[in-house]
Amino acid sequence: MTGTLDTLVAQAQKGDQQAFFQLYQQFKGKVYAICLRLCADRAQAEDATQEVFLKIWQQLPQFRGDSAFSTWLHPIACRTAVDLWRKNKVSRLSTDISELAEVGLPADHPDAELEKAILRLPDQARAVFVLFALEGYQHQEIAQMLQIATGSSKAQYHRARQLLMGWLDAE
Amino acid sequence: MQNNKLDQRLAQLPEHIAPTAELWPALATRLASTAQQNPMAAVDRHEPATTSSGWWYGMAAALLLSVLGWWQLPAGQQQGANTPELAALPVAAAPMPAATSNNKAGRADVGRTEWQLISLFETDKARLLKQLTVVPAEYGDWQQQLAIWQQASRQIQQALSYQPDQPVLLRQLQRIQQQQLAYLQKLVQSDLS
Repeated sequence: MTGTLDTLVAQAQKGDQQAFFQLYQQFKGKVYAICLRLCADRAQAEDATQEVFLKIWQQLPQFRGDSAFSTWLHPIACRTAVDLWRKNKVSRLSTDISELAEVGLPADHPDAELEKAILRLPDQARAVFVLFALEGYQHQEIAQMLQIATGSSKAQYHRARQLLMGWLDAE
Repeated sequence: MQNNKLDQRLAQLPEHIAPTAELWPALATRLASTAQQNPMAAVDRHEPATTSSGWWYGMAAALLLSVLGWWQLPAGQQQGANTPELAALPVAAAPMPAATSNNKAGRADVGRTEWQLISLFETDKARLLKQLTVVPAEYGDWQQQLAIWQQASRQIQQALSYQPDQPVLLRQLQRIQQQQLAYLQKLVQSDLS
């Protein structure tokens, strides 16, 4: 498996689009999950996913194999998604869960209720929450990425948790 | 809800979510015109051969595209439609590269992006055609409409044989494929409703 992945990466680094297609198939779910949770909009998440893979394609020759490919890919995905999130964010606090029907969660999602609740969070609280709780970033890094104060990141995270617990209790 | 209960549920969220739309065709088109950042990378690309034949095939495809909008309408909305039944369209898997190499330029294979576009399209098309059982009367000439799209696709593929991975032609091919898939989707939905 690793050997196959290494081979695909090596081929894609030489400009082989078929090899890159295999990498795309392998990692599109991971990238799309990050983008969907940050953007909370299917169309934007699809655009962001494309942007991420374009960047991966462009930067692929710089990958030296010092870390796992998925580890190398992760910050590219998060930072690209955050860039698009920043461009597209609209101040909103959706309280109607039916508005989220179009995000297209798979039918076999193990906890669609929680997923939809995350997508309902206000933009900044959601971005902080996703990056901290799901993607493993620290508040200082998040503050830098989102161009906010570290204290704001912590406050938004706390706010997101309170909202989620309140919504999930109510349902 | 307790904090630890929320944490437990968060830990069970999937790391992967499959996108509902197939993003590769559009991405592949963009990749074709996007260079990798390392100039030393051994990029295996076809040299575009700018021949007058390629240009003419491209123009023919563009002209054919321009009439397709009319064909997208259900039969009842078209004026003067008089379309005989055609034989069932092939739903076989994507043609292998060698299958389209019989052109005057003696080209050995098709562009990679083009092949991927065709491969994904044929898979989606076959899937939709399988779902189709009864076509509503207003779409009675659906096979002819698909045949026209196929003809346009062939023209573009012919043009691509002279200019492999040419971004404009790839976009045209992709647009035609998307139109066909949207049309088939509409047929399937009409069939279900």
